[in-house]
Amino acid sequence: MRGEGLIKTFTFLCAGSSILVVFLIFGYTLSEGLPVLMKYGLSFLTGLHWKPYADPPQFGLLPTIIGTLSVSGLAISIAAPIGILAAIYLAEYSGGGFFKNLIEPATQLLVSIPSVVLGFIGLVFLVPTLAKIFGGWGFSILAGGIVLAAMTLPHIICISSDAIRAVPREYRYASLALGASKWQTVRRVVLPAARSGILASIILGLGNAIGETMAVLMVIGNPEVPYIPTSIFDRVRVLTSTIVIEFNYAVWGSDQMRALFAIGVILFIITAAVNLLAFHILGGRIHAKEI
Amino acid sequence: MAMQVKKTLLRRALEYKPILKSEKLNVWYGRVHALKDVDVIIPSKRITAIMGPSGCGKSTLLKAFNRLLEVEGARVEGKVYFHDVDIYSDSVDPYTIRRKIGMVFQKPIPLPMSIYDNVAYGLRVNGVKDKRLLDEVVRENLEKVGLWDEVKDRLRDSAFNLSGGQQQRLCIARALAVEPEVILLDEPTSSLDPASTKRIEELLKRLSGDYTIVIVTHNVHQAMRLAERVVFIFEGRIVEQGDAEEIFKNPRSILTKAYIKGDFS
Amino acid sequence: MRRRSEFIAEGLTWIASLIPAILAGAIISFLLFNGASAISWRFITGFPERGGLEGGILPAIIGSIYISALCMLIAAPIGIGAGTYLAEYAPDNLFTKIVRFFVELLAGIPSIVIGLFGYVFLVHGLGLGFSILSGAIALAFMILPWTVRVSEEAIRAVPRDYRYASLALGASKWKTIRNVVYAAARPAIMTGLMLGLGKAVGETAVVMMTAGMGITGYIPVSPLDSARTLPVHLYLIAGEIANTSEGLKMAYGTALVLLALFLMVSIPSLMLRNYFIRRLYGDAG
Repeated sequence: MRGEGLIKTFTFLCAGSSILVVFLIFGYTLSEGLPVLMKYGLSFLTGLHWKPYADPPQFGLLPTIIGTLSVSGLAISIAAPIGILAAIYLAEYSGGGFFKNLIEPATQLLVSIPSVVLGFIGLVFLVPTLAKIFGGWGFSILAGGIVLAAMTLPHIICISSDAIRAVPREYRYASLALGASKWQTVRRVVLPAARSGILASIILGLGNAIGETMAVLMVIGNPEVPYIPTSIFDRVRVLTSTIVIEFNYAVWGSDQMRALFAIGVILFIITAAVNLLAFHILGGRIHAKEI
Repeated sequence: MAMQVKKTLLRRALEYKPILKSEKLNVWYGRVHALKDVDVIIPSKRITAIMGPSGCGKSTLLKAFNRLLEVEGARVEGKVYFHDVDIYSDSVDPYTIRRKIGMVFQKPIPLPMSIYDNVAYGLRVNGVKDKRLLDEVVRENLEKVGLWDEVKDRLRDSAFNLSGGQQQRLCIARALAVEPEVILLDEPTSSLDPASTKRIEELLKRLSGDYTIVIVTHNVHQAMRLAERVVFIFEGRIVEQGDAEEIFKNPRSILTKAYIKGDFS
Repeated sequence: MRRRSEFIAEGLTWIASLIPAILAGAIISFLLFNGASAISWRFITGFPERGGLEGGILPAIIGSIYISALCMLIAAPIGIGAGTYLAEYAPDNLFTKIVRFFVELLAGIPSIVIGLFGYVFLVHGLGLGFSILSGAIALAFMILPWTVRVSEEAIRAVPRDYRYASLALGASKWKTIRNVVYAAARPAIMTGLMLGLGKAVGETAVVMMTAGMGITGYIPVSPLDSARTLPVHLYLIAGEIANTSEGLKMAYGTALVLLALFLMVSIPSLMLRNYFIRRLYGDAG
C-alpha cells in the first residue's frame, strides 16, 4: 500500500509540473523584460521607431505590432473560410469512406511539416512567384499571410470538425423531418449549434499565427527599420521575427536584449489570453490532436 | 415423506453455515438509493441465484460482495460478512477480498493480452513469478473450464481471437486461477448463444462442489436449472430468499409469483 | 433551384477539404523533385565544407537525433505520469481544473518565448551554456503538454471493464494500471509520443536559442556540447547561401533529409501501433 501512495504522489507531481513550468517561463521572461517595460512604459507599445543601435536607443513597437496583426489577420481570413468549409465536408458529407481516410492523414501531414521547411518553400517558391506576378521583392504581408494560412488551416479544420461532429444527431433529424435539405440543415441548424467550437478554432488559429516564428520570418522581409505598412505588398516585421533576428546581435544584459524579452512577455500575454478565451469557450478541453 | 423432511432439514442446516452474509446493507449511487436494508445469506459451496427485473439492484448486490462498488464511487453502509469478518471494516484489504471472491462479468472481458497471460494474470499481479507453477496453473484451470484442448496449441494468441463463449470460459478460468472461495457471476451468459450458455451452465454445476457460486440472472429458467438457493430482489429490496425448489413451487410474495410466471422482467 | 444550391455547397466544401491534402502533397513532391539530386552518401555522412556550400550535414543529423532523443527522455516520463494522474487519480476538483488549464496554457506559449526562457534560465541561470542539454530541456517544456494530452487520452480510452476485471482478481490499482491499462494504452501512447518527437525534431527557434548555432566541424559527444540541428542548419543556410545554385541545392537536400527524418519517426510509429494492436487484440483489433 505504501507503493500505491508513492505512485500517486509521483503522478501528482508530474501533473503539477506544468504549472511550475508555466510560472518559470513567465517569471524569468518577465524579470528580464520588466526593466525595459518600466523604463519605456506605454511608449514601448505605441512608439513608431525601433532603433536599438541609435544613441539613445529607441524601442517603439507599434509598426511591428501592426505587422503582426496584419499578417495574422490575413492568414486567418484565408484559412478560416477554407477551414470551416473543409470541416463541414469532413464532418457532414464525407461519410467515412476512402476519401476521408485519405484527407485526414494528409491534413495531419500538413500540420507536421516543420515550420522551417514551410518557410523555406515560401522563400524559394512563393516569394519569387509573388515578385513575378506583382513586381517588387515578393517579401510581403501577403507572402507571410499565405504561409501562415497553410500552417493554421489544419488546426482550424480539426477543431471545427470536432465541434460539428459534436452536434447531436437529433437536431439534424428534426430539421430534415421538417423538409429542410441537407445544406439548409447544415447552415441553419448544425453550424449555429457548433458556432462556439468554430469560433474557438478561429481564435486558437489566430493565437497560433501570432506566435508562429520561422515560417513567417523567412518570407516577410523584415525591414531594418520597421515602418507602418500601407499595403499587403509591404515588407513588415512581426513580434516573433524581431526576437530571432536581433537575438543573435543583442548582447546579454543590454537594453536591446531586455527589449526582446519584453516582446516575449507581450507574446506570452497575448497567447495566454487567446488560450484562456478558447479554453473558456470550449468548456475546459481542447482536442488532443491539437497543439 | 421422511426422506423429504430429511432433505429439507439438511438444506436448512446448510443455510446456517453461510459463507457470505449481509446485514442492513444500503448502497447509494449519488442520490440514487440502489440497495435498501438488504439482509442476505449465501450458503457455502452451493449455487445461489440472485433474480429480479433489470435495474432492481441485483448487480449492485453482487459488486457489494467484493468491494468493486467503491471503485464505481458508490457509498456503502451496513455490513457484509465473509467468514464472520466484515469486509468493509478498515482493517480489511480489498485486494485480498477480491482474490478470495472472484468475479465474472456480463460481457466476456478478456484482457488485451494472450490467452496464457490472461489466466496467469491474477497470479502474476500477486507476485508469482515461477514459470513452472504458472504453466501448471494455466493448464489446470483451462482444463477445469474445458478450454484446454481447444486452445493448448495457441496459448500465445490474443484472447480476442476466441469466440464469445470461449472468452467467457477463459474469464472463468482466470477467476479460478487465483483460488477464490466464492465466484460471483453477473449474467454471464446473457451475451452468449444457447450452445455456449449450456456449456457454461454445465461448468457451473460441476464447479459448485468446490466453490460457492453466486449468479445474477434475469432468466427464471436459468435460475431453475442451476440454483439451490434463490434471492429475489425488487426495487432495491429483498422480496424473498430461500430454498430454490420451495420458492419456485410456492412463492410467498405476489411479486415473486408474477415474476416467475413471466408477467414482468 | 434547391438541388443546384445543394450541389454547389457540397462541391465547395469538397474542394476546401482537398486543399490541405494538395498542399501537403505539393510541398513534399516539390522537395523531392528539387532535393533528390542533393542526396548522396557524402551528403549524409560528410561534414559541411566551404561554409555549407559543399560536403554533408552529418553533424546536424546527429545533433537533431541527440537533442530530440534526450528531450523525449525528459518529456515522456513526466507526460505519462501526468496523464496517468489526470486519467486515473485526479478528483473532480479545482486543482485538476487548474492543471488542465495550465497544460493548455503551456501548449499555447509560442516556441520563441520558450526559447527566450531557455536562454535566460538554462543557458545563463543554470549555467548549462548553449548545449544539447539546454536544448533538450527547453524542447521538453515545449512538447510536455502534448505528451500529457496524448497519455491522458490514451489512458482514458482504455475500457473501464478491463480495470474491473483486473481489480476483481485482486490486483491493486497501480498493478492494474501498470499491467492492464498501460498495456492497452501503449499503442496510442507510443504513437502520440512519436508524433511529439516529430515536433521536437522540426523545431527551430527554441533549439537555436538554447543549443546555439553549433559548430558544424565535429560530432557532438557530451550533452554539454553545443550542437546544430537540421532545422537550424536549414534556416541558417537558407538565409546565407540559398542565392547561389550550389547553396540552394544543399538547402533543398537539408529540407528533404529533415522531412525524411520526421517521416522515419512517424511512419514506424504508426506501424508499431498496428503491431501492438494485433498482439493485444488479435485479428479482431
